[in-house]
Amino acid sequence: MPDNNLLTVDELKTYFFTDEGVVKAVDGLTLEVPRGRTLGVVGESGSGKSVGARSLMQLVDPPGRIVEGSIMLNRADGSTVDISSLDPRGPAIRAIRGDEIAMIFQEPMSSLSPVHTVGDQIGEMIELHWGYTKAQARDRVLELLQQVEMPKARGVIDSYTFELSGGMRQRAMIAMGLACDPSLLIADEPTTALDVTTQAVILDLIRRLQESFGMSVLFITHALGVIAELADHVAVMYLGSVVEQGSVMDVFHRPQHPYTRSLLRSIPSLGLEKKRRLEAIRGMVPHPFNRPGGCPFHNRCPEFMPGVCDQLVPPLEHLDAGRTVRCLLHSDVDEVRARQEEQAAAEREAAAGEAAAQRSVGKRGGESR
Amino acid sequence: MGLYIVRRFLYMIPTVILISIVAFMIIQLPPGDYLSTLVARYEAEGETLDQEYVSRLREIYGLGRPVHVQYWLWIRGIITRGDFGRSFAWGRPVSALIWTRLGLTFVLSLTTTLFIWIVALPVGIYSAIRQYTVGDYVVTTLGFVGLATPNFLLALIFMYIGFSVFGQTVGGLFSPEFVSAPWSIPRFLNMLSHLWIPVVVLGTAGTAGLIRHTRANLLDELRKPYVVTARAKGLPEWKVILKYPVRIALNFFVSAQATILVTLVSGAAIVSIVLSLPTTGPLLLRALQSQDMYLAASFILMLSVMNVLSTLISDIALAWLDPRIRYT
Amino acid sequence: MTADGRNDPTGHQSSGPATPETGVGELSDPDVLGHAAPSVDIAGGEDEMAMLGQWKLMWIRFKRHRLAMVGVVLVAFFYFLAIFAEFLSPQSPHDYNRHYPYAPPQRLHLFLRDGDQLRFRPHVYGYTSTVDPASFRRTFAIDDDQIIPVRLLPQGPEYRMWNLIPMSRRLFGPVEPGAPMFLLGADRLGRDLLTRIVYGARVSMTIGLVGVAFSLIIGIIMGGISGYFGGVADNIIQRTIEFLQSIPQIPLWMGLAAAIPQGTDPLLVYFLITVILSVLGWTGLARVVRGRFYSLKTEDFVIAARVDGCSSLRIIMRHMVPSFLSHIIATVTLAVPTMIIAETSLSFLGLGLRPPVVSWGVLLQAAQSVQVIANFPWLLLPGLGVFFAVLGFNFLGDGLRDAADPYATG
Repeated sequence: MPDNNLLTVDELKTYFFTDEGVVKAVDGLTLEVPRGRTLGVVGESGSGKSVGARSLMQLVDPPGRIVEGSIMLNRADGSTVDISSLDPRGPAIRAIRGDEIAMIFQEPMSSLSPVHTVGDQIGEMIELHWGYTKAQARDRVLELLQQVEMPKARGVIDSYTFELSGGMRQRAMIAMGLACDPSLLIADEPTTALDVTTQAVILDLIRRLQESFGMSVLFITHALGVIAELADHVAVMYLGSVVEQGSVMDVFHRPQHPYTRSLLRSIPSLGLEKKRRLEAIRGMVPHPFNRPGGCPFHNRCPEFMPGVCDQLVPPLEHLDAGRTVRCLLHSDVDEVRARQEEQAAAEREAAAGEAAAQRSVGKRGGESR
Repeated sequence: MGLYIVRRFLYMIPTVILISIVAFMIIQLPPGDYLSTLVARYEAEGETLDQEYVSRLREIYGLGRPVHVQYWLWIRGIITRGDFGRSFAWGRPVSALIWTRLGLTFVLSLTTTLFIWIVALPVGIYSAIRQYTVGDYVVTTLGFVGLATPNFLLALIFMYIGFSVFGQTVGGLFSPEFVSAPWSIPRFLNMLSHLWIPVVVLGTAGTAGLIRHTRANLLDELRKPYVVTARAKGLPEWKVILKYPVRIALNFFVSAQATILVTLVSGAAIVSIVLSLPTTGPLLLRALQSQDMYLAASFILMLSVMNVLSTLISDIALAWLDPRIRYT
Repeated sequence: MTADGRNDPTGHQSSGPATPETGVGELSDPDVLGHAAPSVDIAGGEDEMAMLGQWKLMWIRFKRHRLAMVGVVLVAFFYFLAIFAEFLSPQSPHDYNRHYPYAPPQRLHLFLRDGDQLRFRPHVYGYTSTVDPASFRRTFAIDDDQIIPVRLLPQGPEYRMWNLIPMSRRLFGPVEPGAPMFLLGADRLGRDLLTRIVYGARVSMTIGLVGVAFSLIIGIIMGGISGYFGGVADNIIQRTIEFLQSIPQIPLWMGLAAAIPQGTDPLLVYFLITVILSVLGWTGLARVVRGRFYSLKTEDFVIAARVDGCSSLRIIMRHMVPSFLSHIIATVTLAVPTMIIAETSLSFLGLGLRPPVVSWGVLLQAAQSVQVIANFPWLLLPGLGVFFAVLGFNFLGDGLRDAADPYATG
């Protein structure tokens, strides 16, 4: 299995240590990004999808950091590197950023420098990673701008971002993402800030570029429609973890997690059952400080099992090949309970032993902000 | 760019005209004029001035005429002949008095600006990048202290320290043997050796302010999404910071220059009075007190023009740095 | 609303460290909505709880700002001095003593050695003076033999608290009225510097407030017109501000202050000086107000109010002003120290307040020449008052600004 996957993320946890407390933005993220395919990550706002995506490149700003888990990048030459273990400022991760994994962001205006030309901002990556001269880089940038179908590419290369339209800025952003022929392109809601017609054009562009460049794409969005149109596989996120993953067809037609089912029921569809009312998911995404215990979805779940879902953390269950779900409906509840109680007991024991040392460390950490 | 400069330059002209009017009006505000004050002083001492002499002086200086006529005569003299009128108290043309003093004020302000830049930019960047470290706290504290000390108080403290610790007076810009010597290289060097005290005194508040400014702006920029983009490209951290946020914070830094120069020119007045520097300050104060109107008005006018020019220069520099301004 | 909630009209940060999505921004982020919704209520003034929410949030952030708390203490201390100056100072500010010109500061001793044991007997030592026959300069030495007992609430000459309540006891002073006690030294006329610094706080600490109040009124009106209506009015006001700011302020102040004739009533001088300070003071405030109006004008809740047919005045007063009031308070707090420094500088030059008014600037006027400072350095002490008052206001204003808008730039 891992051979087919470019990136395997296992139980990744990214926490933010703020004055108010610890925010578990990403809490047990498990993902498989297939080689040469598009994986859509869908989730409500606050589900941790953006932080998760940034974690893959070690781009989380303090006070956030990766606390646990692994991000295995399987290179074409057969070597493997765990990105989560790299120093966020070290040369090893820098060599990966932009070259092997590139990212395009939601707001092309603020994500591009207002005082540097488009050509400068794209070209500098090529100079950096490929050792091109300025002139060589410029040729490559021009080529890229033409590939992303930038109108008047020759003029745009020397333009500033404020001179471009929203769609052109996002094209520039995409050209930047493709600059060094990355094996993975992470697109973090690249169309959210654009108007609807431009969205469609950009989505279409990304799909065609994915085919012609043959890279993997990790596409983050809150729109299920976009996933259906673009992705081969989909991962559904809720409060920092993936609750369900599988092929788009499979997940959309046979959703296994109550959250996915609720999500699917909340989209309007043309022509189907005319009299059906749209269903909204009960309640709101909980505030990061008030994460419910047990299954994080239990207080909104229509299939809530009292005494089970609010007590046990659902483990990841593999259904078929590449199909996973994180719901106690699919787990052997008794076995999970036994395992988690055992684990809790072991943790209590360990904690008691370290209590004294922990306390002094914790105190000092609390004072220096 | 060229068009922008021309436009800004034309923009300046009405401002300068308005300033000249205001400068002249301010001088007219106190009741009476130089001559009536003079006569009153003589009378208080039991003497009388020859009436004919007084009215002849009144005639020469145009004092009897309406204010707008006086203004017109004054401004026409400046534009056509570079004649700023005569100083009553000195009995000499104003133009003979102001140029060297304005020159020294300019030198002082410029040196202080350089001093502020050299200190504030690196310290501000350091403080922002190392936010909440010991170094940042030290810088912030010093900044607050610098801001809370009035210029003249700092000057007084320097004077006290100079006198009680080093046993010398720190006032003036020249050693006694150079005060009235003609310009020469030794005299220039002598000036430089005296200049650092007023520069430090004058520059402290500005440096403190600019450090805070730079730090705040840079902190703001460091949070912008384009910094993440730059990191995502794989650039080394120093390049990420210098090429993007620092470069953009530099725009704020340059646009702050105008305000800084304005406060410097204005602060220089008071520091010069305390340190008795041969710049505009002391002479302006005396001129204001004795209602030596042409001298005072000319000083205010020329200091304002200096301000307007420095604003112009900083605007042009900003346009050169920031394409968003250049192209709109 | 932008990604990071910067334009959130309540000024509180909605998605900062609490939500992990900072900087990425989610249009439908429930957290943003959850906070932004009450802000509309604030503008409508309908929901008291929501109003409380904004100020309470600000207060929570403010309390955490340690420097701001130091600022509160400093500022409160000086206003306490200013309010109770009569009672807190050991003398009256105009009491002079021709026997003690430039008497140096004494140390306050709490214990007196009586035989073998120390007794709690607060006291200071008296002076012996010698007159130099050549220069006729009187010099003082502290004389250990003269013990001047000091106590709390001593009986002294009668005075009127706030010019109203007759009183005869002050907080502390020599047991025997008229005995020399100069804890911070005396000035040229043998007046107690401590007393004068305490009284100086009254003028120096209020002149900033009054000046800022003037500036604020002009600033809000001009800035409001400029920002809300825009167009020609905006252009004229902006050019005026630019023009005023292009005149170097100290020479301008000097020019204006020199126009106040000698012999003008001190109260009028005080008033005129505040007006002069406000001539330039309002420009900065007007810019802040204008900027706020500009960014709020396109906010949904303002547009909604306009679509509802609210009058301009109502939109401004009920919807816009409440949402940036906290910023104005912070800006005003930061403007006060500038005024204090300006007054001090002008008075120091002899162009501002004049004796018999007692302000820190007037007091510092006595310390103009090197000779005086070198011989009587304690005359610089009023400068410490200026320093700590300005520091306090800067801390306070910084804290307020950070509390009102954590992302504001300096």
